[in-house]
Amino acid sequence: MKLYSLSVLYKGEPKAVLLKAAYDVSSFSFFQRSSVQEFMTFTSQLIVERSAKGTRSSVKEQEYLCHVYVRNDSLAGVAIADNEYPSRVAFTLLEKVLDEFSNQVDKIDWPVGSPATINYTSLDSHLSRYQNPREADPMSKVQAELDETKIILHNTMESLLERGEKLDDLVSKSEVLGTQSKAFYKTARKQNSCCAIM
Amino acid sequence: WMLGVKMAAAAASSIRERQTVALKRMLNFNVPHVKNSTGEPVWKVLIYDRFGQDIISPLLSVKELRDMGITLHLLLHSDRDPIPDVPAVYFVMPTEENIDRMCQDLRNQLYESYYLNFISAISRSKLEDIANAALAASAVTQVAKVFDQYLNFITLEDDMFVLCNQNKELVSYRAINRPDITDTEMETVMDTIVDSLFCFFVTLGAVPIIRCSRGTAAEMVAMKLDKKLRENLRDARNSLFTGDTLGAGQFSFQRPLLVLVDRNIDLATPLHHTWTYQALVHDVLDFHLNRVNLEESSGVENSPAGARPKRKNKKSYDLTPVDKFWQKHKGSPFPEVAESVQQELESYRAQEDEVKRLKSIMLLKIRVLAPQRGIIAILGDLNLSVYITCSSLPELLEKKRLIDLHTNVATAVLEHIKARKLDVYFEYEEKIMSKTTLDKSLLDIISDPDAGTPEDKMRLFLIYYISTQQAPSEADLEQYKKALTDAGCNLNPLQYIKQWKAFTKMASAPANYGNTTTKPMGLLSRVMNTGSQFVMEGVKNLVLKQQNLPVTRILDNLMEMKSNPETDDYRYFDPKMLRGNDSSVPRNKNPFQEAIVFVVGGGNYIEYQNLVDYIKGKQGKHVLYGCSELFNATQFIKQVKQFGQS
Repeated sequence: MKLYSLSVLYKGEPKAVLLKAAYDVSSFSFFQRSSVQEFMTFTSQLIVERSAKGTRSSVKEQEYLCHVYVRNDSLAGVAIADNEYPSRVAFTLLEKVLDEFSNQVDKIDWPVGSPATINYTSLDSHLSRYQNPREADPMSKVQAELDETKIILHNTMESLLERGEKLDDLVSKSEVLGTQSKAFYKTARKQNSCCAIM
Repeated sequence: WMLGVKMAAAAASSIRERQTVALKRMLNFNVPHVKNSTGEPVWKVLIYDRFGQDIISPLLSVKELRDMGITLHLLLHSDRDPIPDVPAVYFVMPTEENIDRMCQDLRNQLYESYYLNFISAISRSKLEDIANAALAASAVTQVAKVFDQYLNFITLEDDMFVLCNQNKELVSYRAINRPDITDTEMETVMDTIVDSLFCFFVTLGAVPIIRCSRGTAAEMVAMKLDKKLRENLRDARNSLFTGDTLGAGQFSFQRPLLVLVDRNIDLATPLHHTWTYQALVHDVLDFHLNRVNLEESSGVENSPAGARPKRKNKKSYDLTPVDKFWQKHKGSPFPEVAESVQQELESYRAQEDEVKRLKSIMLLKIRVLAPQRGIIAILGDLNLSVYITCSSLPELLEKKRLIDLHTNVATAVLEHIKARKLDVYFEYEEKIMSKTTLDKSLLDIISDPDAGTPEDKMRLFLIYYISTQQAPSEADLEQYKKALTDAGCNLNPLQYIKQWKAFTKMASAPANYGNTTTKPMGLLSRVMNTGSQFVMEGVKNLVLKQQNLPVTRILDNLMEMKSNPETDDYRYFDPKMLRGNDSSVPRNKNPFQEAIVFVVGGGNYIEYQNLVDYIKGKQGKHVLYGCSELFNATQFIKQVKQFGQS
C-alpha cells in the first residue's frame, strides 16, 4: 500500500497551474526517480485539466490510481497511489488538504502561483503520515456525505482525452517533462508496454 | 610507418601484460624489471591485503613470485614475525585499518626496509600518518619508497577485467539499482567505480574518448571519470599520462573509445543459458577469478537410511593463459570441446606410444647390441633417442595434465547439461531472443519435471517476459505463474523484471538476429562411437551463429560511427578537450581501432564471448571487456530476488 504523490493545483483556463506538490519516489531506483516525479506532475496536471469542476474521479493506469478532486472554486487536489490504497482515505485526505490550503493561502494567489511562491508547508508531512491510512484520521472523521457512487471512474488515461487527441503528442509538447523522460516514454510505447505511470 | 603500426599494435597490447609489467616493476623495488637479467634476485618479503591478493593471483603464479625473489608472501593482517634483514614490499589499499597496521609494523621494526605500494592513491593526511609513525619509530630511513600504483582493478584475461572482488557488494547490480539508496550512498558507489576505471586507464596508458547512455548510472560514471581524467591531465606536475608512463601508447595514432553501458539495457543476457565452454563453466560450476572448484562425488548417491553419504573429493584448477587447450577452446561450443579433448587424448596416446617404443628400442640396444658391438657404437643412437624422449617429456606431461584437467571439468559440465537438459533451454532461449517462431510451448517446458531446475525454468520465463513484444495477458500470466510455482519457483524476480520492463529504455530488436541450427548427426559420430570420454548421447550438437547481443550492437554502432537511433543521443566526453564539452556531437569522425566496453552494473562471460567473436572478424581492431562485477545467472537472480522482498 503506497502513496506516491500529493499535489495541489488550480484549474485555470485552459491550463492547470501546479501550486504545491509532495512526492515519495523512494521505492524507485535512483536513476528512475526524476523521471517518475516528472511524469507524476505531468499526469496530475493533465487530469485536472480534463476534469470538470465539482467532481471527484479516479483514473486507473496499470498498477496506479490517480484520485482527483476539483472543487467548485477551481482549487484541485491529486493523490497518486497504488491499487491497494483505499480510495475513501485518498478522498478524505484531498478534502482535508484543500480545506487547509484554502485557509492558509490567499485566493488571489491561486491563479498565478507556483511551488516556489506558494507558502504552504504541510504537504510533505501529510504525504508521509497518510502512507499508513490506519495511523491517519480514524474512520469516524470521514465525511459522511462522501457518496462513492458519485466518483467517476476512468479505466485508462486515454479516456480523459478528447476525440483525436493523442497522449504521445501531449507528452512531446509537455514543458514539465525533461528530454530523458520523453525518451523513456517513447521507447516504452514502441515496445507496446505502457510506461509504468502513464 | 611500419614502426608506427608496430607501436600501435603494441599499444593494443593486452591489459594483462601491462598490469603484470607494472606488478613486476613494483616487486623489483619500483625499478623496471628486465627479463633474463643475470644474477639472483634480491630476496624479499611480500605483504598484501586481500585486495592485493586478488589482483596478483590471476597474473603471477607462486613460481613467478619466487623467480622475482619473493621468499615469503603474507597477509597484512596476520601474525608476522620480524625478519630484520630482509626488505619488505607492501601492496595494499590505503584504508585506515591498513595504515594503522603498517605503522605498527614500523614501530615493531619487523623488516630491514619498507617499500610501501598503494593499490589506489593514498590521501595526503594518511601519508602524514605514516610519516609520523616512521619518525616516532626512528624508522624514516628504512621507508625506502612510497608509491601509488594505480592498479585497483583485476585483470582476468588478455582482454577482460573486473573492478574488484573484496568489496564487490558495494558496487553490485543491487547496490546501484536498489530503491532505498540515498544520494551520498550513490556517490560512494560511483566514486568507487570511477577510482578503478581511472587506475585502469593509467595502467593502459591512454586517455579514452567516452560515450555513454543518458539517464543511467553509466552516465554518472562517465561524468565523474571525465572530470577525474581532465583534472589529472591539467595537473602538469602530477599528470599520470605523460610520456614515460604512456609507453607504447603514445605512439598510437588513435585514442581508444570507452563505451559505458548500463546493465539495465539488457537483462536477458545475464539470465541466458549458454553453450560455450568458459561461459558454461561459469554458469554451472563454481568458477571464480579464473579458478574452478570441482566436487567429485565418489560413490553411491542412494545410501540407506542412516548411512552417511560418501565424502566428496574437492579439486581446484586454475584456468590460465598457459593452458593452451583453454585458450584455444574457452569460446568453443561444448560439443567441439568434448571432441577436442578426445582428439588431444588420442594424440597424447599416440605420442606416449611413440615414447614407449623409443624406450623399448633403447633398452633393446643396450641389452642386445651393446654387448655385441660395444657401447660406443650405439652411443650416438642412444643419445638421439634419449634426447627425443627427454625433450618431449615435459611437453607430454603438460599435455597429460591439461587432458586430465579438461576431462574433469568438461565431464562436470556435461553432467549438468544432461541432468538439466541445458541444450534445450539454450536453443529455446536463442529462439525467443531472436524472435523466431517457437516450436514448443513455453508452458510445456516449464511443466516438464525432467527438464531443468526451478531456477532454469524461472530464467527461461524471465527471458521470455523480457523479450516479448506484447506483454502476456492477465490470464496467460496467471497460468505461467501457476506453472512456475508448481515447478517450485520463487516469483520474486518476476516482480522486479516487471517494474524494470515498464521503465527501461530497451535496445530494440535487431533486424537480422541469426538462428541457432543443429548440426547433422554425422559430425557427432566420432565422439559417440569411439569410446569417448564423453557420452554425448541425447545432447544436441548445436551450432552457434554469430548474432550480436545488445552490448555488442552498441559497440558496433559507436566504434564504426554508424548512425542508429539507439546510440545517436549517447553523450560524448573528451577529457583532453580544453572546454568541458558534453555535446553529443562527436568530434572524431573516424571509426575506432581500439575500444573498451564497460558494463556498469555487472556482466558475464556470454557477453564477453560475444564481443570476442565480433571483433575476431575485424582485422586490426581490439576490444576489451570490463564490468563492475561478474555474475552468473544464479548470482544475478539472487540479487534481483532481494528487490521483491522490500
